[in-house]
Amino acid sequence: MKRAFSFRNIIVLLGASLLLSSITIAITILRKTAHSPKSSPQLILWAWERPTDLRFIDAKHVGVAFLAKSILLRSDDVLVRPRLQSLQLVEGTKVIAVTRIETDRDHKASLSAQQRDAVSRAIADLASLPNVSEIQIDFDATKSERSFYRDLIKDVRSHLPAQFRLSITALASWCMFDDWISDLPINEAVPMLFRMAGDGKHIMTRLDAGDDFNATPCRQSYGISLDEQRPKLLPSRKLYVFNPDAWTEKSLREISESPR
Amino acid sequence: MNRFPLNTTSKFDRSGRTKLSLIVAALIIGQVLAIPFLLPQRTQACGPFFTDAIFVFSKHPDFPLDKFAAGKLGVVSESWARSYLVIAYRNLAGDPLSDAEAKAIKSLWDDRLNNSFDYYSDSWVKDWNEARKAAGATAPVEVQVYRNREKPREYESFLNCQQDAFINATKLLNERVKLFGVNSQQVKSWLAAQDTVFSNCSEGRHLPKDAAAELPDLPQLLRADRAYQIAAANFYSTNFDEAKQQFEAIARDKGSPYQVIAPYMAARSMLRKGSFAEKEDEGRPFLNDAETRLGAILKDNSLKDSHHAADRLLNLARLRAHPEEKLHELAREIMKKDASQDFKQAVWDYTILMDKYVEVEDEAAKRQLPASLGSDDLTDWIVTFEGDLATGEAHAIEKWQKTKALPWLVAALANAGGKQPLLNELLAAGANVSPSSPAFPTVAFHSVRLLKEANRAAEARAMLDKILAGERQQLNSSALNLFLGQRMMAAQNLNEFLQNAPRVPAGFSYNDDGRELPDEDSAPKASEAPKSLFDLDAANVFNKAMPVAILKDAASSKTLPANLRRDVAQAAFVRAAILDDRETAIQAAASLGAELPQVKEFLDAYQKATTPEGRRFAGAFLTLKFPGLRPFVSAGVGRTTAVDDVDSYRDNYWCTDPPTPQNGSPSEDAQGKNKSVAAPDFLKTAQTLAARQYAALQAFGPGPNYLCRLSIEWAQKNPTDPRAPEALHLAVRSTRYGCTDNDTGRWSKAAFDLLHSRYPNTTWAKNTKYWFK
Repeated sequence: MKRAFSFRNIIVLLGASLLLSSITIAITILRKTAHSPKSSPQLILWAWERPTDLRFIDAKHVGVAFLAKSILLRSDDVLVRPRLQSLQLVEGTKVIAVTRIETDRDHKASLSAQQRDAVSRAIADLASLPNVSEIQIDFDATKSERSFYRDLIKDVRSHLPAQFRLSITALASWCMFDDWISDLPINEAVPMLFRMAGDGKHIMTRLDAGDDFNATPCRQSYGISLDEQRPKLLPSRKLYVFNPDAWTEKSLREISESPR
Repeated sequence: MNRFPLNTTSKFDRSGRTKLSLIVAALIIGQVLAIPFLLPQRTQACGPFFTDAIFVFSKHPDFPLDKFAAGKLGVVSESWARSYLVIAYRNLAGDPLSDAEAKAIKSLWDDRLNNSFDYYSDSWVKDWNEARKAAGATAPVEVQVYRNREKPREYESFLNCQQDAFINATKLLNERVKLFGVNSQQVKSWLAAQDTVFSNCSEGRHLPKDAAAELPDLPQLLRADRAYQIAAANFYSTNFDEAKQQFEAIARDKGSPYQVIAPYMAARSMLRKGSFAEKEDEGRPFLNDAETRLGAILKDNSLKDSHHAADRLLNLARLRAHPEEKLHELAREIMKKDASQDFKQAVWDYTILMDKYVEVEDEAAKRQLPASLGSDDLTDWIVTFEGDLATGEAHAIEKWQKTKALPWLVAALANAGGKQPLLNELLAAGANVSPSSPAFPTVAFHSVRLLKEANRAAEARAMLDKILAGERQQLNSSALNLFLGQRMMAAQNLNEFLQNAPRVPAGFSYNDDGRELPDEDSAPKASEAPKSLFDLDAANVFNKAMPVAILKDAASSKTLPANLRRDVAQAAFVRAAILDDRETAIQAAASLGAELPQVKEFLDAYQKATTPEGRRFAGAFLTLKFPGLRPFVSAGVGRTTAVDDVDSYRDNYWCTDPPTPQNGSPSEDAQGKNKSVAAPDFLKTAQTLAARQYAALQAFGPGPNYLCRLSIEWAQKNPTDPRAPEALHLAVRSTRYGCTDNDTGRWSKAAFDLLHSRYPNTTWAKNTKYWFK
């Protein structure tokens, strides 16, 4: 009986396998590159609630994540405030639309399905803004709010076109000690390394010592503030920067030129 | 994991089966080889904001704000929001608020502190849909009241359709229903047109059909309605010129029920057009046009029904067209009691305008304010008091010399430094301010500050002692704490220091948004005596500027309340033990044992240790058993977990630096430099020793490293000590729940390895499954 797998066949088989695996790996790398941080600017400025003129930035190297919407959850209500301050950008700037969510401390949010639906639609609406290719959610959810937030993220993801990136800001403790975010359908979680309370000092020490975040989504970027000390940062990661004052060419230079 | 689909085409010949088998095999193998690159990367291990004490409010005066509005100013701070400085000025100028003004300003503060003005609620549209349903509408409409601006401001929105639009529409709809009936053709037509109007709130340009085209026999009233609706649709779709012309036409139509309101709407169209202009000078002609139209309305008695609305809109138009002029106009209104018809609105508009002029973009440009800004006294005073002027000190003194007015004395004292040539005159004037004056706390605080800066410490102390003895009950908490802080730093001996270090907080707050809003749940109950805590200034002195022998004396002093004495006692013992100052540690142990009886057994072991190693280990073992002990004193609320429990937010053992308040400022500034700590007068000569001891403490690194090292050393030399395996277990635990650095991992592993190799069958080893990096 003729042997199905002669020596020659084996060589051919191995060669074909190698070729195929190379193609697969290459395609995977390309797909990752399309959404990887490296294809977009590595420095992102947060533009918050003040008139902001960033027409001086180099859009090839600097992107902008601007506060596009603020949402307050109060009892059963969803109170929405879009951006009411000017934002002036240079053509071609990579733009991330951020939604900040807060819950009213005096009138506890019901966190109902209806509320979640209203919030997710309000966030997903931001995808229609010009030049926006990424949505970011900023919500310091307490432990009791996590289930709501998890479902909200899933809902937002389902409303967004597939090519849209979805990121969240993350408390540094979520990234380091309290990982509940690794299985969320997000592209990125930006660890916020400023205005930290609790074990913030400990986290800074760990990062200075060369440790990394435990939660995978937190390993692409850092969030820092101009007015606070920062730990040792890996230069390969994207940097989001908050400025408590207005952005100027001087403050941009300060962050662009400071060593990591 | 991504998978490529298998190619199962059957067009191969017989030998193709072999080829197919090869292809399939290749695909499978190829995928297997590629798996590491396709699998998601795997890796290996709330919101923590805490309530903490606020000793001196920095964003606003002490609560309740009614007292502030009534003239109990406390120490006025330049960091407060301007609406508070406005009221401070009124009181300092001898013109306190009327009851109506006090009520109005309280309403403004409530709105701003609660952000309640800021959010749109969907109740406007809900109510409108209720009215529609009652009129026969079968389905609700979705209306988005905000509209995006056009390029280049496409990321900015504005509130296009305001609440009054829905209220008026509801009123009119109800009237039309009464006239024509629910579900009538006329009402349906009206409602459809109104829905079209509101569809412009968020986007596009959607105009209702012309009345004649839709229903030729539409009654005159509804024709007039339609004309107005079309004009409104143009208004909301930002076609302001067309809207203006259409409103003007309505204003000329004597038969239209909108004849009176139409001129107002025409003016409003121009106001919006002017406000949306890209450049100020492009918008100015339209703002001026709006102003002219509104002025004409107010002069026309036949339009008196729209006078109130026109008056308010004129205020807004002038605000936008002539901001600086309006600023001063508002200031003059605000400065005089009951001069303004709408005090809340006046202060609101004034502070918004102030933000426009004094919003600092760049520190270098900060001081170059227009000279004319100071042409009214209120604005001049606020800008000077805040320190916004490069020439603030000189200007304040010049104004005080010229006017001798109390607000300017306050500004002069606040801006002056210890080398001011007119210091004695300022201080003399300050001394004449009566304790019942609203200015007293601010004047006194800055007088003390200036005396200290001028190296006149004895006078500063005397002034403070007089205030604290005579006026303590009249001072609010922030003011009292400020004076205590000043007196503490002027202490001539330990007892004076300890008398003035404890402070009752002015409030408790999460302060996660920086607004210092009180957390009512954390405030002490009315039936409880207020508890004193240390502020950061006192904690810094204890931790960095006080030699351990003096710390030990503080621990035994009855001057401190029990809770603070306990904190000092544990810091004294642990620090002395780490620094291996046996005598101090034994004396501190007596204090600590009295405050924390549960640690006595371990303190005894420390005292009974016969060797230095035994002593050091005993001290370490105590802190391993009681993770809440550390060589530092806490500021603010501090650690709230029981001393023998592990805190789940890692506030255990100690770090290289002392603990900071839960929401307080870091010990390093943004450049990573340690902030220097000022020493009180009586400790100035002990700073070399204090610095040496602090450096020695820091050299040991974070607590877990030190505890592991001592546990390992002891276990190696004293393997049969029954404490040894427990110590190793607790040491490994400390590396998980305490501060760490580069070296902690190797200490953790070393302790782990020794525990398992030397004591493998102990419960301690069995309960130590991991070591920690």
